[in-house]
Amino acid sequence: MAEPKRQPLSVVPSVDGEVELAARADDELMLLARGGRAEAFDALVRRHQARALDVAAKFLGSPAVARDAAQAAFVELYRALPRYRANGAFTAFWTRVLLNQCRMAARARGTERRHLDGFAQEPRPVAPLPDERLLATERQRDVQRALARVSEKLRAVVVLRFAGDLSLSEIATALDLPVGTVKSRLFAGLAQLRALLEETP
Amino acid sequence: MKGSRPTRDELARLLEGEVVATRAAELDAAGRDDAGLRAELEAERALHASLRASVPELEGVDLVEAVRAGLEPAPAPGPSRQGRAVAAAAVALAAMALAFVVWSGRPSTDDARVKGGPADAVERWTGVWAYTVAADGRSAPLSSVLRAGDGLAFSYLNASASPFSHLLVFGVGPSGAVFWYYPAWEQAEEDPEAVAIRAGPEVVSLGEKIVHPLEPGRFVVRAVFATRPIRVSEVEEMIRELGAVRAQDVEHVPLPGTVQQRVVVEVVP
Repeated sequence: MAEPKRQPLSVVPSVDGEVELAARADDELMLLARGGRAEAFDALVRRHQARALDVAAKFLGSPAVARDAAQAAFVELYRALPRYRANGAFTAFWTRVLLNQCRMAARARGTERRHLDGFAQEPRPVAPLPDERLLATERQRDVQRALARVSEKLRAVVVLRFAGDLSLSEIATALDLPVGTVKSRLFAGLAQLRALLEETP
Repeated sequence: MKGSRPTRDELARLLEGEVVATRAAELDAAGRDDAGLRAELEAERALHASLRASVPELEGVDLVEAVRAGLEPAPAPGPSRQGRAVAAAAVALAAMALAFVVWSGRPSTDDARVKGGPADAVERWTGVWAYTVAADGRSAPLSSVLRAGDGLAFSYLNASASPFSHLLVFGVGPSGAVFWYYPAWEQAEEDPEAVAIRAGPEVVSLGEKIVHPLEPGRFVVRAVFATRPIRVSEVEEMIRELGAVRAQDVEHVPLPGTVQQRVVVEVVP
C-alpha cells in the first residue's frame, strides 16, 4: 500500500477526512486553529492541560496560581497562532510560552516564601483518604514545598523533566541550552531538593 | 562491590539512564546483597515518583471554558503595572507625595552624582532619586532599608552636556529575580524598551508608585542611563549570565555606553 503523502504544514489541513481532531498532530491543530477552527484549539488545550497544570503547580508551588498561569499560557498560545511556524517544534514553543507565564505569575505573586504560604493554605480534600494515599499526598506536599525553594533555573529543569515528562534534549531545545547544561542543572536541582528535604523535620 | 559506594547523585543518574552500562550492572548486582543500597535507591525512586505525581487539587480540571473566556475581547486595559497597587487613589496620593518631596527637597549637585563612578561632567548632572512610598501615601528618600509592601517612586536628572535618551530602572532580588520599574513589563510575550527621557536642567518626576512583592533580603536597585532603547530581554539575559550574586554585586552591569547607578537596600518584612 502506498504511503499517504504528508500534507505540507504551511497549508491548513482539512478536517473533512476521517481523522479526528484528537488524533491530529499538534502542528496540525495549531494550523487548523489559525484557520478559524476553534474546536482544534480546544483539542490542543485538552491534550496538554493536565501536564501544563502539573508543570505550573510544581514550578509555582500553588495549585490555585498554577491554574491561572496555565490558563493564561493557553490564551497566549492562541494569540501566538499568527506567528507560529509549524515545523514540528511545538513542544519547545509551548514549553517556552508556559514557562514565561509561570515566571510572570511568580513575579506578580511575589516571593517563594509567599508561594509556600499559599500552597500551605490550599484547601485539602474533604473526603478522607486511605492511609497510604494520605502518606503519599503528605510526601508530595513536602516535596512540593522543598521544590519551591530550589533556585528557579534548576527548578525549571527538574519540573520539565518530571512533571512535564520532557526528555533532556527537549528541555535543551525549549530552554535554548546545551544538553550538558540541562543534565548538570537536573542533577544539581535534585541534590538541592534532597538537601532541603533533609532539613524538613 | 568493585567500585566505590554510590552517592545519591549517582543513584539519581542511574534512574535517569545516565550511568554507563558496566557501572549500572555493578550497582544492580550490589543492590541485591546490600539492603542499605536498596533502601537508598528506593528513596531516590520515591522522590522521582513524587515529582512525577499529579497534583491532587488539579486532577480533572478542564481549562477549555476558562481559556475560551480568556479569549473574549476585553475592554481596553488602563495603564497598569505588574505587581503595582492599582488603586487610582493610592497612585494619585503617591504622585502628590512625590511631587512634594521633589519640590521641597531637590537634591544637591553632590547628591546628583552617579555613585561609584568618576567625577566627570556627565555624572555630576545625571542621576536618579528613589523614594519609598508607604501604603498611607507617606514618602521618604530611599534609605538602606525598604519595608516589603512599600512602593518605590523615582525622579531623574538628565542635564549633562551629552544627555542620554533612555532610562532603565530595575531591581535584583537575592535569588536573581529581576523586578522592573521602568519600563513596565506586564506581558510575557512583550519585550519593552527603556523609557525615553527628557534632557534638561530640571529634575523630572516619573510620577508613579510601584509596588513589587519583594522577598526579604538584599535588594539592589539599578538605574541605567543609555543612548539607545535597550530592551528588557537584553538586561534579563545579562542578569541570568551574571548569576544572582554577581548581578547584585557588580558595580556596573555590562552595558557599554551607559552610565549607571546602584543602590543596595535590605528588604525587611
